[in-house]
Amino acid sequence: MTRSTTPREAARSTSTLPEQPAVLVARRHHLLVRWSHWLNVPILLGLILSGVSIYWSSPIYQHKPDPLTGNFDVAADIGIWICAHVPGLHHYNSPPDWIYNHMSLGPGMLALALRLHWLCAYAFMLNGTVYVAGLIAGGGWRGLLPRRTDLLDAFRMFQYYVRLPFAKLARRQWPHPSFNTKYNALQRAAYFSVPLAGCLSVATGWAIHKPMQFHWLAAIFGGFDAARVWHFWLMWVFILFVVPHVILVFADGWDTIRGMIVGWSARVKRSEVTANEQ
Amino acid sequence: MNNKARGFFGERLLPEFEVEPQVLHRRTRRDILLFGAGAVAALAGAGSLFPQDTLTRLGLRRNMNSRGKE
Repeated sequence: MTRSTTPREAARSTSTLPEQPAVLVARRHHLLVRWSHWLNVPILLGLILSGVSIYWSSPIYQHKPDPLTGNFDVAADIGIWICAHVPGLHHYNSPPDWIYNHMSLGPGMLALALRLHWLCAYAFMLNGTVYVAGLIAGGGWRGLLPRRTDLLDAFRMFQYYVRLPFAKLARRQWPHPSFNTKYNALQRAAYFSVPLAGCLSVATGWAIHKPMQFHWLAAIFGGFDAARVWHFWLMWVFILFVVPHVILVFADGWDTIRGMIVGWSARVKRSEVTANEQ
Repeated sequence: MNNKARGFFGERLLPEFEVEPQVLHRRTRRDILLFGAGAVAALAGAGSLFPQDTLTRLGLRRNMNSRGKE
């Protein structure tokens, strides 16, 4: 049986250029996961900046007013300390506001901060739904589930990260522990717990936002004031996750960053999963 | 090992596929340009939503206030 050649095949057969071999790639992240991942960057930034501005109007951590300045806010104390001790900041015009000027929209913006916080909070909930849909559609949720070997593997990875800078300084080889799963145990722990922190943030946020309607929700977290404390520290969970996450992604190289943009990875061998790690 | 043997919760093999380098380059370029456009849109969104005081503190002296923002 004869087969008619397509114009493309005909062009290829007459081309004098060497034919490039096809590249083998692995589909790593579903489109919805990638979209929600990157959308989280501006949303979380908006939530944190507006959240700290809201905090300014009623700080959780307070002390008795200072007899000289009348200050009662611990965050303001930290700002005063920074301006007193960091070179170049001694003449800062409003030391109590230093934290709020650098980690929030600014002091004295409660109404606007609340509006922006709610806007970002609704976007965050919608985005979380998109992320879950992407995990289900792409089957990526299985890669996030904890497994029996995680404790030992996490210790191996921790050891690797702790010793890596010294090995680099000494110009010694320090091989990466080999895992045949999509994520290593530390990554899995982080990527599993961050969505949980997101759910808790939403729950505590509703408990604070609607304390009358959701009094039962506030009660789960120990009351309105305790829900605010939860909400505040959950923000720090995100910050403490993002910093090493970004550093490690950059350290891991272009393939990892590109993978979250385009969805595929050229590191095909690492995608194999062995049965004993389930 | 096939997916059935891994059970419902077992991690699956990442789907692998072969693709021509030109196609891969084209798709990569398209996705990275889209990503860049998204980043620019996010910055523009921040500019239109953040209060002028915050933008001034960030070094944006131009008045980006729109009616009803503050």
